[in-house]
Amino acid sequence: MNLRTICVGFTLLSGVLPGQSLPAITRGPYLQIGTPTSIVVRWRADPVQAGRVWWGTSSTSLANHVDTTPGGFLGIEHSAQITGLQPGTRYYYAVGLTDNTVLAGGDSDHSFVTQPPVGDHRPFRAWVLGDSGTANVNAAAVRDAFHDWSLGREPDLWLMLGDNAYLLGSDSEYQAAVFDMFPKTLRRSVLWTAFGNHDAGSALASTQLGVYFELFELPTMAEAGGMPSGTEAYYSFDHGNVHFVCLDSQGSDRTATGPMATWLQADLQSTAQDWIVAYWHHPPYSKGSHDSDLELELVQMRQEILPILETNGVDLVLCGHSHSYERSVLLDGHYGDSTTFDPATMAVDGGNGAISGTGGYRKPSIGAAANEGTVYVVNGASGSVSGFGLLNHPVMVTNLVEMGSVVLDVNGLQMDLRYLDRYGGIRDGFTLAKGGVTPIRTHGAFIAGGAPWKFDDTGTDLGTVWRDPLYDDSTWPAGNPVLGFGEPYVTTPVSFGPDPSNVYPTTYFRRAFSVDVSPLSITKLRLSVGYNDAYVAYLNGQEIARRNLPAGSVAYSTLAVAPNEPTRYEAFDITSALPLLLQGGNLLAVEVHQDGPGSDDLVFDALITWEGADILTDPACATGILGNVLTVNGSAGGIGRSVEVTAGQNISAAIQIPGSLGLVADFALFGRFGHSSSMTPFPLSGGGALCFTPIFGIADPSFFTIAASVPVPGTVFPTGPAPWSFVYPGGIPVPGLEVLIQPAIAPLGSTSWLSGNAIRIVSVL
Amino acid sequence: MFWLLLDLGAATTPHGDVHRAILAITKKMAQRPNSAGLHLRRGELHRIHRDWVNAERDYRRALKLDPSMQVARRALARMFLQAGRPTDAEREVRGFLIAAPGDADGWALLARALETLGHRADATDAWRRATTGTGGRRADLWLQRTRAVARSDAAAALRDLDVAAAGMGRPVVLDLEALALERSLSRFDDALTRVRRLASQARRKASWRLLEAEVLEQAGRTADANMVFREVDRQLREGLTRARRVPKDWHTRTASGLRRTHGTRGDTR
Repeated sequence: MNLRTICVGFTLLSGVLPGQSLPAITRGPYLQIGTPTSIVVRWRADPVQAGRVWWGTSSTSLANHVDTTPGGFLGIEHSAQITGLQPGTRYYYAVGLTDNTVLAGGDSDHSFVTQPPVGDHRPFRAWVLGDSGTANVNAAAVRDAFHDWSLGREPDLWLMLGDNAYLLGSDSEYQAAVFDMFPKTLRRSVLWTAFGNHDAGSALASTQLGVYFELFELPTMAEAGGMPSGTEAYYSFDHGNVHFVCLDSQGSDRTATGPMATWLQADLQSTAQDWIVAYWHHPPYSKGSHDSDLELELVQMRQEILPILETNGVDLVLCGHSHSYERSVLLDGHYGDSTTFDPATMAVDGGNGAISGTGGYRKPSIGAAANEGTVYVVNGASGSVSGFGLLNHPVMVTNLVEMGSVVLDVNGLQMDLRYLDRYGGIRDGFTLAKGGVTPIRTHGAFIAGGAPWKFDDTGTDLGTVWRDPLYDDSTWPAGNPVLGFGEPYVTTPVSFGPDPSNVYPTTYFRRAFSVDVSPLSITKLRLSVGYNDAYVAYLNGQEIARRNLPAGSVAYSTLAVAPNEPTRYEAFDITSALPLLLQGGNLLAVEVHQDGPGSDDLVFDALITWEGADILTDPACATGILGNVLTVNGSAGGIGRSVEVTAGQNISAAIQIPGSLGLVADFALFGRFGHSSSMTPFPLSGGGALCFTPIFGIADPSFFTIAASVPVPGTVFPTGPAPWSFVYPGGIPVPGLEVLIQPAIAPLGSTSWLSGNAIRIVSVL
Repeated sequence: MFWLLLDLGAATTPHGDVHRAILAITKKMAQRPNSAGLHLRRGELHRIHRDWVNAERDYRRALKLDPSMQVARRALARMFLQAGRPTDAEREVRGFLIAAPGDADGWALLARALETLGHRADATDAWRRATTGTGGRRADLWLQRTRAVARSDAAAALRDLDVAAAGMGRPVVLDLEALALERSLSRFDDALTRVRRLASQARRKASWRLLEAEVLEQAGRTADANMVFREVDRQLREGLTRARRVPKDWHTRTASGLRRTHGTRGDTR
């Protein structure tokens, strides 16, 4: 352990005397029980000494501290609750000893963001792992795929659905499967866990004794929302506008009249949140490596617990146990075995829930409304897959024997769930919207897997002209990915030339694709490439990424600097290339280079995917908002403008009200502050003033709005001093702040903005 | 003695149907015929299958192979109780408790056996033992204990519950049990204090306010009850206008409460 001291407002001295053994962190730090104003920091240190946590809003000024007394079974566990925090705020921390020796932290890697205020609508992401406890390369591949795909964005919270450490959930197994496997996420995001059958090998739910209960600190007294359960075996908490409920399908009474069910009923009836997500280990529906028609825990959870959940409006259920991925339709009232499923009466929506498929799922009410449908997900393949089982449960719309994890994005009254496989590909997904909100696309693929690439494998030096979108590739052959040679998984072989000892150094690939959303609405653009050995990628003729090649110009004969054997699609953030992206036709061109003349393989495939906080796709909106109506800082065009701002800079915006709009709508400018490019919501609290008052009592201070009822078509909005302007208040030490301004409309009398270009705002109920 | 930690019932719950699981274990036993653990697991499967004869045979075999595996004796006692043989159950579990005097489940098993045999005073004492030590943190045992005590002394059961709840961070299940006892004892002021405290913890108040109205009605405070029913009715109606719906029985209970307390509202759905 690298011992250091940090400045916490005074000089710190190491407390280790010559000859003394050096204290060391042997586990963590890791974060537990996060709330809008508090968090628990846990770690294990040896030898036993009193501990200390420092924290502050800057990594170089951790001005606050709290001390801990080591405890736990071995007397080496530290647990410190930090209180008095501000919601939705990033804090930095360090842990160490009371003599001010810092054992870990005090850097940007040791930080967390407190939960937003309860009920807050700002978007957040949860990462969900099930049966991840194998502590092997498979679990690592699932982990790495998520981190790679996330482009550095840590989840706002993460869940483990049980069987977190094989085989018996022992302390050493937990060390390998959790603490050594996920150190970075553990120290930056709050982990909430469920109790699985393998965890029960070293712990007992009824007494809350044993390893699992020793390691994890979970709410028993409604510390993070909900009602007190009195046990860590099952509990609930709030995050943003979601109420999360963790049940114990392993060691607690699963009957409908037992303590867990009684608590569950009271808890669900006490929440005012927009969403309810429940999770536990044993799935109520599965035909994977476990059969929900036969096994006691699964049957009981379905028969005894599901009626309570559905009656109280649960939206999503996440389970593990079966080592597969299975995902249901929007379901209600199916409590018998699989042969009793009646889609006519039990499938609220029997489609696949994908906007690009049969459409997103919709639930008419907000909050805990009874029996409007629940989606059930078996996510038990985060550490291994088992091919046993027919994977044919009739409620399921998707069945996969593929390792991966679930990514859950919640954005106001819309929820998007995706299954990310170990190779970095999205294998399933659905959208669920509530309260009459029309589901909108918040992510998608411009280049998805499976569609053909054109390629030139003739061993010809094509110079640079082939990168041009107008280059004529009509004579090039086309083939489905994966393309290459020398690997058993290659679908379309490409030629390496006549001499295997002197293979062609470069092969060219081209793919035309269409963009059907406004590039201005995209907040993250991702290029994911599986390659062997090196590549340069060009978007519409301009280089956007290169890997494993030397800097400078790359010629046909340029070789990779090292071999690369791909294990997944490597994701690269190409958001900075957004200005190159055109609404309509685009071209991605990629040249793949070998590492030498004797190379015995080549592999290539690529994807381009996007994320957008709020993307205009709803036809109803598109008819209301026209392009080229918005002017920001003198720059006109499009349906949204994003500008970099600095403290004190004046920003002006105006909209030419479309003459075609008619007197049918309220009209507003929505703005959102964020960090450059990512548009992470950024609160404006703490200084400055805006020259208008937010409407609708929007709680999130990162949003601002200016609105008027029934503007006159053909005029400029806002009226009054023209142009409308405000001054960024400054005072926030973050460079590269950005403001996104977009117009929106709402039907008269409605508090739902239909367009949701920048932000879809629904009144706070 | 680590095996005492293990939740035997849960740990041995079969994956797959019982017959299949029994066959699988029997197959393993062919290679390891002297495994006490396998006999114990198969005994549990037989018990789940209500095959008492084979279950007893396996439990006893497990004990013979490994006399230190006293948990098999507790399992045997549970099987006897389930099979309607409380005297045998009492004998076995008392033997088990000599080896494991701090085992909460063992004491709970003894208490149930004694209750079945009609020895209520002894059963109460056994429940008390079950809810000390690690059992003191178990809401399920406290619920069983107070229900047993309440049959003869509801006030004592209520006191027990409040002590337990205070020590466990006031789990809502114990509060609800206490609330039921308070209502049965006509301690309406206490019940109202409790339900209002619960309401203060909830972000959605309607279900707790509804309960408050029902307690008021039970207390004979009809006008107060009617006022609260009306307030709940208004909240539910307001919720509907904002696309927030509640379980149907809330509407039903509110509507019938209004009718009983001379409200003018009909069905609020």
